Amino acid sequence: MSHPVEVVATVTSSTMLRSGDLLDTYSTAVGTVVLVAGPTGHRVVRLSPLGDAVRAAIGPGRTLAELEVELVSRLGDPPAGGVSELVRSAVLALVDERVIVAGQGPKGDISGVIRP
Amino acid sequence: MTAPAAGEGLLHVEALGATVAIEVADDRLRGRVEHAWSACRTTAVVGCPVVAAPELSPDAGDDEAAAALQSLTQLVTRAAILARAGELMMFHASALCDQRSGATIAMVAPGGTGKTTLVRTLGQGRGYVTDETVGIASDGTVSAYSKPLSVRRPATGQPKDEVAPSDLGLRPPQVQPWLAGIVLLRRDLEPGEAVVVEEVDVLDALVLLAPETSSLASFDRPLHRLAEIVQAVGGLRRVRYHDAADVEPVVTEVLGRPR
Repeated sequence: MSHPVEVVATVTSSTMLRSGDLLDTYSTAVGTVVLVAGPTGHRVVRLSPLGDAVRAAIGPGRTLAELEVELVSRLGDPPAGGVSELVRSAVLALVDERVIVAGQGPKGDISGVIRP
Repeated sequence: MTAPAAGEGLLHVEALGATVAIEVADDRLRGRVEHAWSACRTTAVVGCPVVAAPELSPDAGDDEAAAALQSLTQLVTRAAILARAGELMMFHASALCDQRSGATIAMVAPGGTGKTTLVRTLGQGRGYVTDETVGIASDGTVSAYSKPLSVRRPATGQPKDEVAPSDLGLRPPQVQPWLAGIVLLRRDLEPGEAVVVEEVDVLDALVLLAPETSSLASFDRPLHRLAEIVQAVGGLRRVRYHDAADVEPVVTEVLGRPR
């Protein structure tokens, strides 16, 4: 999946990542979908297994570097490929879908984050 | 705008269980509006929303009148959806019901992809619930919206004709409709190809159905509510077809389900 140049450029290892404006989350044994509020309406997005793990691991907010560490502690090392590349790709896909938002604000600032 | 009282000259219609008053200032439209909306006529309700039919230009022809009726339908639909937001799960769908049991099939599809044609083709002897918006309550009952059918003209760029159900041999439900099945329509087959019915898992169902809902976010835990509806009728099925008549077996099966 390709990502807009501006999104790729703004997500670095120190970028703070937070949950997007998720109105609801629905999970079954085979996966998860989220209802995302957006400027042009609401959309339902089906998450990949790694995308769902990223969403769950972000909590109130983590940098990309912290997220990598957290995911390795939760899931272990990936069977193939580098952790950084896999996590970064999943993050970019989720930012594209507004499931998570990327910003430079302080970690403790979670204003604007709406939890179901 | 709401009706302060049972105003003279207002035409009251039932749409998705809400009463909407239609104000028709132009006498040239009044008879056509009354006839087109005959299946939805109801008694006046004080304080109900009021919509005004567009006024025609002095030299208006049939196309302008048709466009005005089409706009009026959109206004009524909008008012009804607004009135029932957060109460009914509303889908862009056509629906037919069994006239004895009330078992109803909701056929979800984006605009312009054959909803009206399906109910015209398969609605004889059945209850015409709607060709536009299906509203489902938490107990599974369906609020009918037996609006004028919006019939596309052969030429492109022309307004649709708002046609009374009775003019097409259709009758509104005679018993309370309830949701027995829900299908997603895709008219993507070639002529002569057999209809294809595919099961859709609940997660994909949420992804596919959400864009065809109105006011989904008005609910508490909207995805859970939507999933409950889908699971209560045994899941979503995608129906791929070319000719509306080929969908008949699917409709027959769903309308034969017990409650």
